[in-house]
Amino acid sequence: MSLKPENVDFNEIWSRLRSTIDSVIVLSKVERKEWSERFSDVYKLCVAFPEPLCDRLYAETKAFLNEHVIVLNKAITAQDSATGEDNLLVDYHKQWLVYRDGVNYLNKLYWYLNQQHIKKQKFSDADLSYGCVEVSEQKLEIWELGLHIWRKNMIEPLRDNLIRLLLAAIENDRLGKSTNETVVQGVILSFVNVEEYKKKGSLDLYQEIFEKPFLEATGEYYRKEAEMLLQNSDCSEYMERVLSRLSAENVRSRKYLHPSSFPKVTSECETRMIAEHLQFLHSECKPMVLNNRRKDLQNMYKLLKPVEGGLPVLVKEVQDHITRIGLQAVCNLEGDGVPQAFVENILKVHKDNSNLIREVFSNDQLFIGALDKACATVINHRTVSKQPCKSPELLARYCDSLLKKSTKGMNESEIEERLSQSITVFKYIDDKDVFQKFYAKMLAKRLIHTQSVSMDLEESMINKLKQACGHEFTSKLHRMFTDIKVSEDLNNSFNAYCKDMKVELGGINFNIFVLQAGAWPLAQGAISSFAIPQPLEKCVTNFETFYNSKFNGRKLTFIHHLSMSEVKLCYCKRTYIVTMGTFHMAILLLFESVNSLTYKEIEENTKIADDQLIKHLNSLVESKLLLTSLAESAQVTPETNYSLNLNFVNKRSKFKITTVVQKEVQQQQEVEQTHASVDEDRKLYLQAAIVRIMKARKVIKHNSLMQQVIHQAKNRFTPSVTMIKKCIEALMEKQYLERTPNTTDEYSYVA
Amino acid sequence: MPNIKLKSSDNEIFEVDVEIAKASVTIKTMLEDLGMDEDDDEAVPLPNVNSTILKKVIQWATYHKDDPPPPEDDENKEKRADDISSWDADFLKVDQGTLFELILAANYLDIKGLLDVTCKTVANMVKGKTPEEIRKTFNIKNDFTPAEEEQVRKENEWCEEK
Amino acid sequence: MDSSTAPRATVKWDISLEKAKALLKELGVGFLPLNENVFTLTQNSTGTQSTCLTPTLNAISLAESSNKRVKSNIRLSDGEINADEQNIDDERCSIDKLSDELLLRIFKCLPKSVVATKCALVSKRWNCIASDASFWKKIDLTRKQLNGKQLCAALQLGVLYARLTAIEINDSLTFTKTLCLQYLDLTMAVISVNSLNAILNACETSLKKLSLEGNNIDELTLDLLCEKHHKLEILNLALCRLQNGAGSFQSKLPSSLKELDMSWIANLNLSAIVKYLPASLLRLNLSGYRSNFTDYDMDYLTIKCCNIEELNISDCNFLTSKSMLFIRDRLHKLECLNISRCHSIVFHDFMSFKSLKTLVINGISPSNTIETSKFQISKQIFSTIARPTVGNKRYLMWDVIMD
Repeated sequence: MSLKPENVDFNEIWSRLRSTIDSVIVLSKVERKEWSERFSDVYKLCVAFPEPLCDRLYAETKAFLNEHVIVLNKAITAQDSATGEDNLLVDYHKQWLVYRDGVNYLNKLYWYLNQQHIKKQKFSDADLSYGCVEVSEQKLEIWELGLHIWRKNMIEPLRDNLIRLLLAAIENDRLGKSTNETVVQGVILSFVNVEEYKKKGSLDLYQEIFEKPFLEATGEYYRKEAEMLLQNSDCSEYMERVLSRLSAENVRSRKYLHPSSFPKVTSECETRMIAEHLQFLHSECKPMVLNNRRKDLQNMYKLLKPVEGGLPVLVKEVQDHITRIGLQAVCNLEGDGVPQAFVENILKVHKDNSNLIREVFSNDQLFIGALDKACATVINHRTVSKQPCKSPELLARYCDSLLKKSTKGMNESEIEERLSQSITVFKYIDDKDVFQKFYAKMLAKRLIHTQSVSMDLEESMINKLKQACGHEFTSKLHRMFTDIKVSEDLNNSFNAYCKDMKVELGGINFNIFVLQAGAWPLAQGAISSFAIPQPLEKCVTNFETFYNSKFNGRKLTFIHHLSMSEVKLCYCKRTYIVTMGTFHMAILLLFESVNSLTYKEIEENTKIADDQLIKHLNSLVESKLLLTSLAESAQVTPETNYSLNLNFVNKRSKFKITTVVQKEVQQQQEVEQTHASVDEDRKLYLQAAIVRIMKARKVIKHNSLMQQVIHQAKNRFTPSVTMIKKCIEALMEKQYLERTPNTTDEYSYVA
Repeated sequence: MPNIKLKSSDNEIFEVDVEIAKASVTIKTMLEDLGMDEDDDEAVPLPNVNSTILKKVIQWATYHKDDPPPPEDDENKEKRADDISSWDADFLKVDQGTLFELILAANYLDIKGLLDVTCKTVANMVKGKTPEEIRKTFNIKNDFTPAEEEQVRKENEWCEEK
Repeated sequence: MDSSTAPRATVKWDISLEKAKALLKELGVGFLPLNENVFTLTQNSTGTQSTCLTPTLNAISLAESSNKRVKSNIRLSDGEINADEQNIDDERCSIDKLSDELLLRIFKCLPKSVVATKCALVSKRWNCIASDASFWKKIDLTRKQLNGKQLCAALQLGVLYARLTAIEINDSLTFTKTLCLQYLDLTMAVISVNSLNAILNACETSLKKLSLEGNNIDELTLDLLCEKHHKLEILNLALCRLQNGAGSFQSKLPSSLKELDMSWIANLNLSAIVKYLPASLLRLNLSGYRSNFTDYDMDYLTIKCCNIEELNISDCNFLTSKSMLFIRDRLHKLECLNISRCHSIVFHDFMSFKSLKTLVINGISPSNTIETSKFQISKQIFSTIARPTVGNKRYLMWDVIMD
């Protein structure tokens, strides 16, 4: 024997080979020598001369395997009809395991045939995908051939019986009866294994003959199961049971099936037990949410989550519920602590429900979204629909109350904590610009009157707002802050200047804030005329000289009504130090030389506007520093007399005169003013946005422009459509844009 | 490393390191667990490989035992014939008969590296020769009639290297 | 071979000293007497084996075989064929004993030209093996001058990928078999319209990729492309010259087309073509329509082919900024846009192109208002759309390695 092609007697070699593969296919003993020698027999046939005998070898082997499997099949069938069908699965499984291994060994023996003959003939994937050839023409490697034959001669004839028995076995398993797991799984997976060699559609057989009927049977089983459960249990029990059925079926899948079936089985069960009873489950959501039945809600969530259209109803219920309790918590608040109560109540609702969502709904985005929507609804709710929402103002006041010096006795870290929480509320506010306005006003007051509890806290709050809303939002607040800091230095250098220039300010300790006009929400219109009292003249003029030398061309406007002064009263039995407004001081200074003056004289000397003057005189009278001839509630006349109370007594040697406490009405006015100025700002902001968009797009449809404007403004406020329309019209009047000729709903930019 | 015995067609026994023998995919396949009782001492019969050739094959496999596995055949890549290592070139300085027997053995035993290098060696013998020289080199009978030969020549003219 | 390599072999031979000498000699290695011990040792370790033949016998058979080898060497050097001796020398293995597969394997180590012009002429068997289709999947006939018969013979070998760039065919083609062509590159070929159509007609199945750049084409060519080659994925018709009424072409291009180059085709009725572009297109080159590509066409194009990722409309002077708006608002997947030398386009807001990564604007000085942080402004000169060979990747024809 050699490797060279030889003239061979096929029958002789085949009969040798055949007797070996007879043993191999049933895994009986084969001598190593015999086994190894057959390799050369296969080779010899494949290279035979004058014609290679591969095709004949392949054909004979195919016939052999066909015959072998048919015989096996008959044996199994015969045995079953003799002993009853119960053993079919066991017999099939036993034979399959032997055959599968046998074919694998055979494949090794036919190594040369596979390598040299069959693999070469195999069409490339490209050929197949071009559709040039028929797949059925293809020769199979010996193991593939073996499996193909098993399918044809074993699985196909036994198919109906096998499937029936498999389904019965699994149903038994569901009912808690014992099954032979290894056999059932082995038989099911043989449908996969037998096609595993196929590149495409290797699961087709499994799916067609087993998976499909299995899913049907599963569906039917659980449809009945669900009906039975519904009759015998309430919703809580039903959910518990369904969950336990689902997990049991999941385990069962892993015990018997191919992994590709796991999700299908789960989905089938879910359809039968959940999706088909959605109406019932949904109807139970509301009471569960209302009564905060956490365990039930958690189960409900688990059930509804995988089902299409399952969750929205539950999400909606949760959202409605949060909205309801939120509104309850913040509406009808009355009394002093409204801002505190408002913010703290909202935070409580938010916190409670965040916890609920984390613990019960696994922090599902849908529920977090619902919480956000509910909070936004609550926070932006308007008690009176025509009026602007009060929340921005309330929140600003809450922050103010935290940041203003008071006697509440919170330490800085507590305040910091609350400020952080207030950002949670802030994020939900639609009209952030309104909040900004109020916040700026209150900040201004705190800064000017040095009422801030801590500059660090102020700064940290501004930074928090910046984080939430961006740099633009807080730029004015930042500038206010810097002004105050710069002013400190300015005062120092002014004092140094005075020393250098040997300027004497008449013993007055002069301190000044220089504030940028644009950054501060100070109503300049309300400034009254004022004649600066003579003792202060020097300070003012010197400072103006100093300031102009430092910053050429800047205009200083003194806002006297916001200035404060400390006055030492030396005409009483005790010496008092009184903090008061500059107007108060100006009035009191008139009494340096006389003890009594008429209203007219005071007015002429101070030049303070009537309403302001009356207000300030009243507060001096109320504090008993001045006495008046005027009867209570009578009108002031030019001749009304005011005289210094030389017998003034006060328990404290240091005290403060405040301007008449703002009346409710005034506060209301201020609020309205703030809202009006917000509206002005909004119009400007919208117009700027429109111009920006038009500049970029040149031509744009009305709807698209609307959308983009709303999008751009979203971070600050929700603009009303009418307002945008008005802005567009205003811009068209100003000829920034025009309607595109011959269109109705398109604008073009006019460069 | 355990050794195994290989038995040639002329009944000579070669004791070889198992890992070296497994350079042959065919032998490797034969040795795979049969699930039967193993008589380890029994030689693996190679009734179609004579001792001369088997010796050479073992020699080759021994020298190349630490080589990385050869790359899979790539349809998209033409093989080069000029990258034979000097050891292989020396090793294959044998007469034609041995060379072709080595090809047959490498093919039967499925030793891809040896098959590649032997085929390349033959290819190099073809290169640069006229058809007639090729016939002489390999002792091939020209079974074309002159007319037939001319026709093939014409048909394939397009491929002429210019 | 260095003699020191001999002891490296770990094979243990059950042979005599004499035989070892002979063997080593045969291997071309000098015998090292010092190694005697090694052999003694080996002998000892394997001495118990019973199956081995006696050393003497082996030595004889070895001697015999080396004798024969001497003879064959003589014969080789003589170059004579001695048929009688061959018959007698039955044991000697010749190339005839190799199977077709093995011969094919040897051929695959040779350049194609050698196989076709040398091996094929050796004998009928060799000719048959040399014609094996697996050998001729790809051919590269760049710049060859062939007659029709030769080209037909070549393509009929079962070629899948044919590079016929700048080939010159001077007479007509007659195919006797259908062709398996999948990729065909006829860029700048000198070939008559009839021959071109003959090739397209002889294909068994639809081509996948085709380049006819710079060819003459007629109505029949276009019909074949639209009807027969309905699975085309890539089509390059750049610079084609239309003949015999092809200018008024109106038919639906294959709906599988992903890349199409129809740039610079004189007399093309562009408005008609735009209507028949398939929605499957991902890369499209319609450059060079200086006077007949209008915003109206672009309106149509952007509605129809909304999946386009790369678009080249350079040298289309009639297009205005309006087209840019169509492109921006409708081609949401556009990554690369070439508007070189489109002088009527005055447009700056490329930032609003959401997916754009590359912008090619040769011949237009980039205005300061084009911000470049978002994408790259390229000076790339040649389009890569539908082209078989791009840049210096000469070895590639589309995605197939040709060398």
